[in-house]
Amino acid sequence: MGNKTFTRNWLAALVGVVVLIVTSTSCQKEEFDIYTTSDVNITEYLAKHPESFSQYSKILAITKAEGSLAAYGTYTSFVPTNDAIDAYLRAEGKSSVNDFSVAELEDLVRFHLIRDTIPSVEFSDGKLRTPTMFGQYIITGAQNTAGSTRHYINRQALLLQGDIRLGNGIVHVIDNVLRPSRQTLAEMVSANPDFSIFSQALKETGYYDYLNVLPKDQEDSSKFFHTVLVESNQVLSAAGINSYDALKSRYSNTGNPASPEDSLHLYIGYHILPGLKYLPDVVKAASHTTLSPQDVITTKLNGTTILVNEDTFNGVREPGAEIKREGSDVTAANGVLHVMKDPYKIKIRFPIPIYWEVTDQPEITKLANYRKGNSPKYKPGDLQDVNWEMGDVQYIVAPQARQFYVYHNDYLFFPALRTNVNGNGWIEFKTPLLVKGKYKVWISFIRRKGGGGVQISFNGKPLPRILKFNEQLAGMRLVGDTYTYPEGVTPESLEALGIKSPFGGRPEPEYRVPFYNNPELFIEYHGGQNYALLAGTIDVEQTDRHTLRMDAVWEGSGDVQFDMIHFIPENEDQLWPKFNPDGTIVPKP
Amino acid sequence: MTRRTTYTFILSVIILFATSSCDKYLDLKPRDGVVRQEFWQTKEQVAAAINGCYASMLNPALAEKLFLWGELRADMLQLAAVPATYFNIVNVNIESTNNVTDWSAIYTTINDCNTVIEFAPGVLEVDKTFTQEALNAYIGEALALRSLMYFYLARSFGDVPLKLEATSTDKDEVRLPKSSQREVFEQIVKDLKTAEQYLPANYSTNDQTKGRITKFAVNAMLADVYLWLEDYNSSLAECDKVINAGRYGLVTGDNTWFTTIFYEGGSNESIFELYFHLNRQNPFYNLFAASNRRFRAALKVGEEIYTADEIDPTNKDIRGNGAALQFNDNSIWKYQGINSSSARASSASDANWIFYRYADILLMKAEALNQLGQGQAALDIVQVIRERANALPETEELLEPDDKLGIANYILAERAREFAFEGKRWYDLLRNARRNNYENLGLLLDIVPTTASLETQQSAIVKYRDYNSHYFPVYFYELETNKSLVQNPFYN
Repeated sequence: MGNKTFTRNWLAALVGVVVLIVTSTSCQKEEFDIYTTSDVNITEYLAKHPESFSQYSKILAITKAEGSLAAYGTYTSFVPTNDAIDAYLRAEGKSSVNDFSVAELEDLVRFHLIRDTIPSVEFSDGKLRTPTMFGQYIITGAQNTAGSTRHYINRQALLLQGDIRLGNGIVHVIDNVLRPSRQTLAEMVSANPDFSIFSQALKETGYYDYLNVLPKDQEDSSKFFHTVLVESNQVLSAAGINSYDALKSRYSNTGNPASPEDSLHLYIGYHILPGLKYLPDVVKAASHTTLSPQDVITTKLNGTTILVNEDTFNGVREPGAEIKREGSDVTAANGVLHVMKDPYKIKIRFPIPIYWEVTDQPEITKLANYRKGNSPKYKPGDLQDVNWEMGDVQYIVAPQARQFYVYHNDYLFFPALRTNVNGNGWIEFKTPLLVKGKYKVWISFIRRKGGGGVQISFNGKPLPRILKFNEQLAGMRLVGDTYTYPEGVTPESLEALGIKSPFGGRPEPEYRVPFYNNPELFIEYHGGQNYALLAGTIDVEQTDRHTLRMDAVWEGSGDVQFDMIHFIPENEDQLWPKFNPDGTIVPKP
Repeated sequence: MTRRTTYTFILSVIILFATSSCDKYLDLKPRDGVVRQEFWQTKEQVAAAINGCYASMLNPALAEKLFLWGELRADMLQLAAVPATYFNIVNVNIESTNNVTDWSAIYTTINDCNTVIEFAPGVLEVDKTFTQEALNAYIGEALALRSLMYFYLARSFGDVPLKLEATSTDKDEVRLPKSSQREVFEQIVKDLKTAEQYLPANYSTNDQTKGRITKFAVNAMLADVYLWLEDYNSSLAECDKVINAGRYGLVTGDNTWFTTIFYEGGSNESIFELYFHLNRQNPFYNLFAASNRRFRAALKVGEEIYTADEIDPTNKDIRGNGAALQFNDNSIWKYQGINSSSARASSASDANWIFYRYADILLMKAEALNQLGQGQAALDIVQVIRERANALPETEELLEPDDKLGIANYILAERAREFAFEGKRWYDLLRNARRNNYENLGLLLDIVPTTASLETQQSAIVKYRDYNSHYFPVYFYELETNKSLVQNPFYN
């Protein structure tokens, strides 16, 4: 009995042991490496490299900026090395950073810090997209020294090491301390003996005082910054003007340049642009307002040459005046200074048609995937030149836009235009620059369910027609390989009704628009889907940007989508040119 | 007793499962492939391996890279729906994270060639029917293909790691530093010289003669490499070898010209091309033809490079409208046309990638002759090419035979017309720009205003003044995995 028990127990024990071995080894615990992020923030990174950055760390400590740079955020910081700061101390006659006042150091830190993440691949020839926390923009460029090419920052420092990506932003290491500009534009012009004639003209016309105000002393924020296109003595003397008196006798018609009506006053005002415009900004827009009330300058890039007022009017080419690249893009405390290679003067302008894409908004064209992908959704207030009551607005491109025949395959989407208090009731656009004159306004849109009754007003003045953005026109008709206007309808007969097809065009192959779901066929009219409606005639009393507003007078759900707004002088052809999805513009045959 | 049986039974079952369930780990050979010790046994396997080298080049990523490297930085493309990385290249804002600079597809082919070069000789001992001559021919093909790949790398990156041994086991750690561009060129010349001795003049079928490396394909590559080495006598000699062979000629410039060379492929003019086919298509449909195509031809291609006869549109440069591009929409036509008007189906994008054709030999010869002071002979050759193509008088230049720079630029312009979108333009510009210690750098600077965005134009010009910027950076992934690599000088 005892024996049996033993045997049985022995077997039971063996089975137990084997099971234990098999199960315990089969379920071995796997070793996982556990990681947490080791990303450091800007302050810690600088502290970790005292051999290069101990001085800047010290400045951050004095100014108490180290706390905010150790917390999360999106910053771009230009960090001067210890050598750079030592050189700065020597130049300023100080023995250590403690000799500066805290306010001075705060300014220094603010000028080296941008509340945005800007990698070096986005450095361009002009200013960075976001100003420093000091308020001035930093400009960048490339420079070739001693056989190697580096980015130069604000014409004051070279980039030693870019794009150190840290937990709360990007550090760019630079070899010199950046100094903000302290001179005003007025002081800068008068300090240069080469500009003595222009400088005296500034004083005589009263623009000297106007340009001598620092942004912090300026109450009107639209007057913080200006751009001056200065003509040197040499340039003026090439045009036969050797002294201020010669300039005055050439241009002043009243003998009193301080009077705003005097043409020398206008001449000088015509060389001052409101806003901060570095050279890339100057060429990016085709025209700019000036301080001469009704006059604009146009700009053009020809190869690498920037020309002012190089225009073709009535088939005649007017040669432009070149901006000298060397010596331009000089930052002042209240603006930027460019130097002309040739003089230019005011031109009498006549109204020209403006074919405006409503998607041409600075926030949208700035997107990295502009014309390549949809934008994020915007809330009211996100766009500086478009405003609306409520809801999300979005910039839409192909492929979503491809089924519509909209210029450049893109449009602006609004969620509604209705009278219901819970829906979007109005939209307000700031127009592009319109030259004084009378224009017909055409709204080119995509027909959707919304916007069944819309009142358009220009600078607060209502236009006569109530537009129906949800109206389906008579359908298109296939003739040969092209979808065209319905039987008995011509572009002219539609124009009489205040309707036009903004796309399509001519029979030549390069101007044809493929039908979106059959590329073998073409299209020049789609009354069911997108067309343009005439809102009325506006009277532009001053060459400027104006306000165009849409108010809903109808109730119903559905979105509204806009492609372009055409402002065409009333006595010019209203049907041509046409604007096609691939970006081609079809001129009148 | 019953209980004991039960225990015994359970025990046996457990032991049975525990030991038999996992016995395959004892077998080290993979079940889904052939290991090296089992391969490299017969001459058929060597043939299969060399076919593998060609097949690796059909990787769409490779052809796409060859196109991008040869054209993206040049002046003949208009960017449509392209990734931001392409814009960065055009704006000379190239970072090491830009995936256009990923060279892995090229090194994959190089490793395939290295494997053949290293292991094929061993087959001689195992397979008695394998002859030294047959082995040499295979080695020659592998050497030449490897040289071709290194030629692309050295022209695109400057200095690159020169890997001449196969990576066949995990123990072959790749920690290779870079060799200078000149060393790479010299290795290419050495290898091509060897390959020239080994290779036949032709194969049994036309497709093989055009689609595999022949002796004359090697001569063509050598002529090209010597131009980069500025050794014009040697380049001339290599061109003459091809010309004197009498096997190649220009396809007559009639209505069927385009179809013969670019649709059918393997023409009398072709020396070496990469054969795509319906089962292995090229990547060009998405690049040039799809509705969201990435590229169109730059405006200047139609307006300035080919020009048009306003009065008689039928009087045209046959290489322009309906061949390289369609003037009406500036679409790139070379890889999507069947003839001047009908397009391939999207499912039949199998146009070959032409590495060298006879027109290239003639124009390389002209380039060498011009540099050797025989300007008139160079101009005569250009005239032959122009007459075949019915080049329009607007693009003709009247030059004195001693105007060396003028003739060099004229040849360059003719090459743009002849080889539009064949992946040669940037290399042609760079080779001409850097001749005589960058005597003609303006060629590259002039690209910028026509391509770069206006915000980056000035920086781009400054960057191109730094010769190191003409080469790509090493892709960041390579730097992370190979600690012996140092980034190219401009990108530090």
